[in-house]
Order: sequence, then structure tokens, then C-alpha cells
Amino acid sequence: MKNNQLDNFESLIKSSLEKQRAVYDSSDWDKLNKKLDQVNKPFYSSPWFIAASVAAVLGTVYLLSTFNTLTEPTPLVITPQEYEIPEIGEKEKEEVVAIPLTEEEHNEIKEVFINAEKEINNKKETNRKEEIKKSFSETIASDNKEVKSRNSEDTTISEENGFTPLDDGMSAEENFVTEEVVTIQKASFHMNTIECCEGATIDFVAERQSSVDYLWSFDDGNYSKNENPSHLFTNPGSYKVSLIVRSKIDNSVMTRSNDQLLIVHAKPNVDFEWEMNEGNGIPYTSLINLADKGTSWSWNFGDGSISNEKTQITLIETKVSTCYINSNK
Amino acid sequence: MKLEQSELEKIVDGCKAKNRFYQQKIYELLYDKMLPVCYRYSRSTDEAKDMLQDGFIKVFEKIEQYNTGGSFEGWVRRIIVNTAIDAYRKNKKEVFIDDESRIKDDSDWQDIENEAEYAELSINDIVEAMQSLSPAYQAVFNLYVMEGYTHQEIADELEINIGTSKSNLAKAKANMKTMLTDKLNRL
Repeated sequence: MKNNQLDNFESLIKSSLEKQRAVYDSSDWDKLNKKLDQVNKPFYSSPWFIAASVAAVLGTVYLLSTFNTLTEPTPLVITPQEYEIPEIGEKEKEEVVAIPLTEEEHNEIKEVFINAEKEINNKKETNRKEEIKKSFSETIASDNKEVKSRNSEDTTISEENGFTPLDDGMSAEENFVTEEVVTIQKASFHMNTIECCEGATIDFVAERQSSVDYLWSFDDGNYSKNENPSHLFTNPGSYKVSLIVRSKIDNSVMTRSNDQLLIVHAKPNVDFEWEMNEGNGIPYTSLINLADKGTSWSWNFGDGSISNEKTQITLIETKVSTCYINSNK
Repeated sequence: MKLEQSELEKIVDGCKAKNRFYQQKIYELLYDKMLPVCYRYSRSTDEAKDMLQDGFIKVFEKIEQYNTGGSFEGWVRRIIVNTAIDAYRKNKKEVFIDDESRIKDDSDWQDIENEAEYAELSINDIVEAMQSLSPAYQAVFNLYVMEGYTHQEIADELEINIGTSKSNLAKAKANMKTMLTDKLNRL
């Protein structure tokens, strides 16, 4: 327990509320005292019990007198009213470790996003149709045309790059309906890879536009306000990087996050063994790759020759002086 | 609760024997910390006090199960929180909102820019803001932030799914921020 990673706001609220103390009010105890009297009364003195008992006796008498063939009356089970008490024993013992996000959680969020996107796309489609109708029946002022061309540009971008629009569905709709001037044209970004090793620095590039501020969340608790930040990922995991673009004009906000999570792999261990052998009178050396977690290999034998083999490598050399192994991932 | 271990044991033993004098002692000792816990899960002082009473009735009934090793205050707090969750479940008429796409969340900006300003707010302002949250938001926010429940645990306790817990936390925070910003502007 108490292992959630809280953001600044949450921590602030928590530390403030933890300090709150109430001033003791003795009349509250008097009330509780009375309640306790009621709770602690033996159950057979409860009016409900008496009523139920009377009903049971009368019922039995009635049943017996009506159906003589009935050998046994139906037994009535009467239980006093109980308080529901939550099980707390288990929770006390359980220690919860804060983990970034499980795959299941990610998928769940992703699903929510996908549904939202579908809804947004449906809305856009409806809007587009309406717009076509409109364009036939109305003469459109040149100002409005500009707004629309910007909107259609935005749609193309979000479909092409596959980023999940988070909250522009509503604003796009509003733009069509009210024809306000769009202050943010796009919240879109590129990153140079979607897979890397821990300790790698990833470059992010936001689509440039005027009069906006950028805020990046790297999903590891770090933020950047640069347009094109580089961020060092120090822990393995999958990260949902988001970019928030805020208009300097009207403070409206647009958000994008990478649809495909950025996977940061754990650093592989690099190691190998070598053996000296002889075959047909020719001595050779076998190199055995012991690296784990790698996805590509690059051997440099120190004599100008290289290899990308993963497993065993045979060198027909009499002497191996130096060896380096690098691993990309 | 500043109390010698031996004193506490004596009081707990007294409570186990259902001695009303020791029950009152416990109540007096923990009142100042436990009533604020109830404030956070309720919308008025009266509601909070009722919750506290129900919680203490459970404490006295379950006290047999408390073993002296663990933190007594923590144990009581857990029971009080469970009482709050039960109360929430019983009154649950409200539907948790599941639609994440509608959050126009510029909260990250405020995290960075307004953190210092929030610090000037009084505890009462924060409690007031908390009490004006809907019960669903209160429950999720408190369990996550104050009690350290994971989203999975919240989902289990409140019988909702994880995504709902997350989006409700986000919205609870957004609402809190709006309310607190308003309060700040009026200072």
C-alpha cells in the first residue's frame, strides 16, 4: 500500500489533507454511546425478533390446524440483523508494488482510445457530409473556406500518422458548427524510433506551428516544454509519450500520444566464450555467444574482419589477440 | 496518537472486553484523525460524523481480530475507509463516466505552473473542494491518492473496470484543480 506514484498535484493534496485534524466534540460520543447500547442489546430483546417469533408461532399453529396431513411444519430460521463487516485481514498483509503499467492495463486504455477514435471519425464523416450539402446550397464566405481547409488538413494528418486523437473530436465538431477560427492546427509529432535500449536518448520532433506552446509527457514522470526535445529513458518498459499543444491565443489544448508504445528494452548482457581447437591439422578458434536479450549482433575480430552471426563463430587463425562485442539492443 | 505501547495494549484489551470506558478512550484518541478521513468521503459534516460512528461500531466489533503487532491507527483507519466504501456502494446510483476522449485535460500545465500557488490554499479550501466532488470521484480519488490503492484494487472494491477508475481519477483531479484555481483567484 501507499506505493502509487503520485504527481505533484496529488502529492500536494495528500500532504495537505493528511495534516487535517478535527476538534473533539463530546456530544458525538454521546450519540455513539446510544448507538452502541442498541447494537449490544441481546438479539432476543429486539422488537424484530419478538415480532418474528410471534409470527412463527402463529404460522405454525395455522399450518398445523389447516393441514392435518402435514407431519412437520416448515422450520423458520430467524437471524438477528447483522452489520456487514468488510474483510480486511487479507489487505493488511498484502503489499502492493508500484509497477509502470501492465500490458493488460495498456490494452484496456488503448481500447478506450480506439473506441473514442471511432466515435470521432464517425462524427467527422457526418460533419463532412453536412458540409458537402451546405456547400451546394450556400455561398461560402472566403474566411470560412480557410477554416475548412485547415480542418480537412488536420483530418488527413491524424489519419496518416496513426496517432490517436484524444480530444479534438469535440473541438472539430464545434469548429464546423460555430465556424470559430482554429487556433491550433495540429498536435502531431515524430520520434526517431519506437524501440530502444535503456539508457538511449530518443529524439522527438513536433510539427511546427505558430503561436503555440508545447508540453511533452514522456510517461516516466518527466516533461519537456521544448518543441523538439530529446529524452533519455533510463528504465525498461513501454511508454506512451504524449504531446500537448496549447494555443497562446485562446489557451485551447490539443493532445496526441503515440499509438504504438515506445518499448525500452533492458540492456543485454554481453559475453562470450572461446575455445581453441584443431581440425585436419589446422588450428581454429570457436567463439560462443553468451549474450542474452539481444536482437542483433556485431562481431569485430580485431583484424579488420567483422561478422553479424548470432551463434558460434569459427575463426581460422592461430591467434586471437583482442575481441570486442557490441550489441545494439 | 501519542501513547505508550503498554497503555495502548491496556485500552485495546479493555475494548476487547467491550468495556465502554475504554471504547470511549479509543474514540477520543482517534477522533481528530479519523473524522477528517470521513470528511473526504462525504459531502457534509453530519454525513461524515455518521460515517465515523458506523466505523467505530465496526472497530469495536472487530477488535478481537486486531493483533498487537501492527499499527493500531492504521488498522482503525482501514476499517473507517471500508465503512466509507460500503456507504458509497449502498448509495451507488451514479454511473461512472467511462468516456476518456472528452477530457480536455491541460492539467500537466498546471502541475508545473501552479503547484506553488496551490500551496497557499488552506486545508479547509481543499476539504471543501473534496466535499463538492461527486461520491464516485471522491471514492476513486481518495482510494488512489490518500489510501494508496492501485487502480486494480479500486476497480475491485467499487465494482468498476480499471479504465473507469483511471478516467474518474483524471476527472476528479481536473475538477479539484478547477475549484482550487477558482478559490485562488478569489483570494
